[in-house]
Amino acid sequence: MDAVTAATNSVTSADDALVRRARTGDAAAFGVLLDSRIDRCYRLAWSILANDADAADATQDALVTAWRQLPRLRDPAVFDSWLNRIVANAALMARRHRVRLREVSVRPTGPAAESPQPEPRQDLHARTQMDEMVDNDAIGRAFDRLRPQDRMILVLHHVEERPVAEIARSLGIPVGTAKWRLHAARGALEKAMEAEA
Amino acid sequence: MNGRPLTDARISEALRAHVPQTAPAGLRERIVDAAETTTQQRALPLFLGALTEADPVARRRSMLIAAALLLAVAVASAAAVGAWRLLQRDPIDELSLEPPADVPAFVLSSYEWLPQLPPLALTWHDSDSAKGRIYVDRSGAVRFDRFTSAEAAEPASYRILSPDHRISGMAPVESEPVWVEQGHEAIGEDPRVFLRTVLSADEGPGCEMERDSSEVGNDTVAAGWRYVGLENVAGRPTHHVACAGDLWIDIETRLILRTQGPAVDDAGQPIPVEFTEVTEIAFGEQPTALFEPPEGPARISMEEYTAYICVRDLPNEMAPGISDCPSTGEAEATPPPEPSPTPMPTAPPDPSDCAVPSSDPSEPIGPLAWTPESLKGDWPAPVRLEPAGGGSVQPMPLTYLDPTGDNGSTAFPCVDIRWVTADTSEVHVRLVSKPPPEVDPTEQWIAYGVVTDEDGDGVPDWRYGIDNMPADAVEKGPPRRGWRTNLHTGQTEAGPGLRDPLFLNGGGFQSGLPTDSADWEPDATFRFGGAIETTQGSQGWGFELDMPFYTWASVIVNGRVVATDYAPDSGWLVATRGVRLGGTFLLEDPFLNLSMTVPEGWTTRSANELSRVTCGDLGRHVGPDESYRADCARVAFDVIGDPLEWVDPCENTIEPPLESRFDDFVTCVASRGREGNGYGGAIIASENVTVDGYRGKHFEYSPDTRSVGCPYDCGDVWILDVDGVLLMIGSLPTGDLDGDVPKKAVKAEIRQMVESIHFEH
Repeated sequence: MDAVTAATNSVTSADDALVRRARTGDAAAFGVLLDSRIDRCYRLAWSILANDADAADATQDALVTAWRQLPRLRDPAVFDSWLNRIVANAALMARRHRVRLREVSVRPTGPAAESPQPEPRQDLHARTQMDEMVDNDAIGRAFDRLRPQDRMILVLHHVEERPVAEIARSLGIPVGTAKWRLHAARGALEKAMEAEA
Repeated sequence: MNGRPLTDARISEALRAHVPQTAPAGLRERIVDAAETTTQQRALPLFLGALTEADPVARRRSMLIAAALLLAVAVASAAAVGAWRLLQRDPIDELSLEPPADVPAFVLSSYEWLPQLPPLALTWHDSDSAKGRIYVDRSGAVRFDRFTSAEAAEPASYRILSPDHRISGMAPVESEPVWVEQGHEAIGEDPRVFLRTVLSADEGPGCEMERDSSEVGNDTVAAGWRYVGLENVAGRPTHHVACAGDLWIDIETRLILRTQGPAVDDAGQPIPVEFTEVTEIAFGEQPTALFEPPEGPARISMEEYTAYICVRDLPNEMAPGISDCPSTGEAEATPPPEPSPTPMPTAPPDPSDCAVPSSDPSEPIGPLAWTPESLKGDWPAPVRLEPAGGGSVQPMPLTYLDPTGDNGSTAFPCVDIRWVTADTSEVHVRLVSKPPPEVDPTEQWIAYGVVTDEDGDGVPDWRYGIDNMPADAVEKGPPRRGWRTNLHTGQTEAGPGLRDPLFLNGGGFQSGLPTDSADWEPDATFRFGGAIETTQGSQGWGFELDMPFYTWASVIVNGRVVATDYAPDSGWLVATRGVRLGGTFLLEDPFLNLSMTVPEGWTTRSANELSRVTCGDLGRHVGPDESYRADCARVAFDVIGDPLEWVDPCENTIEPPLESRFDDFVTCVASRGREGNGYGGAIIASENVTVDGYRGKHFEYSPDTRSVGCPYDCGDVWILDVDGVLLMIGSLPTGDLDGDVPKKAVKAEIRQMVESIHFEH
């Protein structure tokens, strides 16, 4: 089998090949994998943290963790759902850490505690766009009121357009449960919109 | 808020505007930099773990054992690997991301490898906002689709280059799509090399993209190409190379995925940069039908087509940019062909549960055979005979169970109705099996439908249906036609059965055939009302199905009805808005079948979910003006095929790995608490249970550790061990009920349902 035939007959996707190479320590291959995924990962982290800087930090932590643990990924075909899970876990951990920090900061133990904890910075670009569309604004504000888990599954489904089966794999739950959670998140969004109105 | 319902499209649009679209600048570089300085974790083989033994004697013994094992493994591996490499080279090993050692040869390979291009589908856009799609078949055939705009979903025309060197395709003639065929060989090369007509760059001295076979020993060809870098296009790793223009060449297949012209002209002045870019690409077998003549459209020869476009000075859709028109004065004034639909039989249907009877040529064709005139006609078989005075009318239960094997032919389980569910907007008909995909109606003409008695006098008024015939000459995809017939006047209105919704003189319905998706259950679906989004907001359509109806399924072979089923077989069903009668719920999972008694107020939401949609004063009813259904409680059934997969979030917490499926699975679920029990809450109580003689575990969980009002706000999870198959039943309180009394009642209903479960064997 010559090189041409070997390559063209390959039914393995290029992504699989990149994952295999990255798994062996090829940072350039990992970089190419990131090209088409980093925005998605960032949006997923943002959906949980609702803060640009925290989301960037969590994305970086998650992707470096993914790089470190990549040799342990047995099946390259599940790379995306595996990566989603790592990002979600990193963002949830960051959120817990952030909550703890804020709990500490409100204690009157020193001068630093007198400074109020700044509110999470919102995405100014998205706000500007939202101002142009009242409906989107209402949904966006309602979205911000949701629990992180609800925000995450809504973003995976409605923004990333991930199939429910892949969402289920990402979250480690059955497909039926993923559908159910999606429904619950949607119901929560509707309620939050009613509360906003 | 403007009161518009919260549709999927609306949520997606709003969230895309709300959530940032791109990661901050520099984040990617920071991550790659960190990766380059971060050591990857690699698990050591277990026996090597002993090398870290603190005891020097044990460590020495372990080292000796390890050395012996390593030696044996090395010898065996060398032999095995050597033999294996002689037999096969892994194509993945060929994929190097390193810069090509010979850049000109790499560029030239983009042309030389085209005849080996595997099956694929790709979409491209260019700097003129043009859009196209290309399909490559395993035979080498290539189909080029052209779209009128970047937003268009369906191609305006397409051409197919076949391995037998002919060109054919679909082009508009007098605004009608017409199939154009070339009667002789038109191309002399492998069709795949013509991808270059779309994906190529400016060539010039030193910037060639292919060798000139007439030149011998020309070593300077393509010598000007230089390497730019490794970049990603359409999710594929490419090498970016530049000469007069730029190319991004797919490393694996050498297909050009992006081309870009120069940014300055020969005088060095800036010019608009032209580009063509592949935006989507997917490798894999393509549907054969894409490369075959469609049914319906008129056919003309390439010569007739050329004469037609030349007389009118129209663009050549069959060979874009190429004019075969004779010079002025020579053009023949050939009149345009009259489109005349001439349906052609398609290939024999694939094997399926519904048999395709062999036709006996000597057997006369019956009076009900499909003909082109059938396109606008009613289903030719008579409607069900009704008794004098009309049949009985029964309220729609949760599931209407219909006897099977009663359609008159065991060869057609695809027209054998198992059960029916319905409310005042939708009817689902579950069949014993799916019909064969894309079967020709001249072979098997298959239809499903609903007959209504609009005025309740026991006489059928309307017949709604969907069948497997093409709706019109331009329909794409599997043929399906939707129609309704006024049974008093015989007048029929018909159209594409998948249009959403199918408007018919102000009424309307939307339907789906069981073959629309391989993943779908064998259901024929009919929707009679709902809401659609328009530029003026949400608008209701259709009507409420609050009248007596029955469902039907039928097949015609060789002009004769060979199988028909009705549900119910006699009498009528009627659904009432807001009223949900209880009944039997059937879970039909490949691994587990069960039946269960469901009280009033519940309905089936999907194949594995029940939903309580009448919730007292707080419940909202389903109607044509609502596209979103509210409910106050849900029960879902999940058969856990692989506990290891399901409990993946428990990885690194379960040692040793799961062995006893039920016990370990229950232990894992119990241990996961708030984040990990699959339902998002903290488990607050558990008990052993028995359901239909099978052991199980019941958990009660709080949806939120901060929630108050437990136990009535709490959900329930049952895990049952049914002969080794694990079934998880979970309930989700949606919080639409206020007060403990209704919540307690709903929880009691759920418990009663679970206790009524009977497993089918």
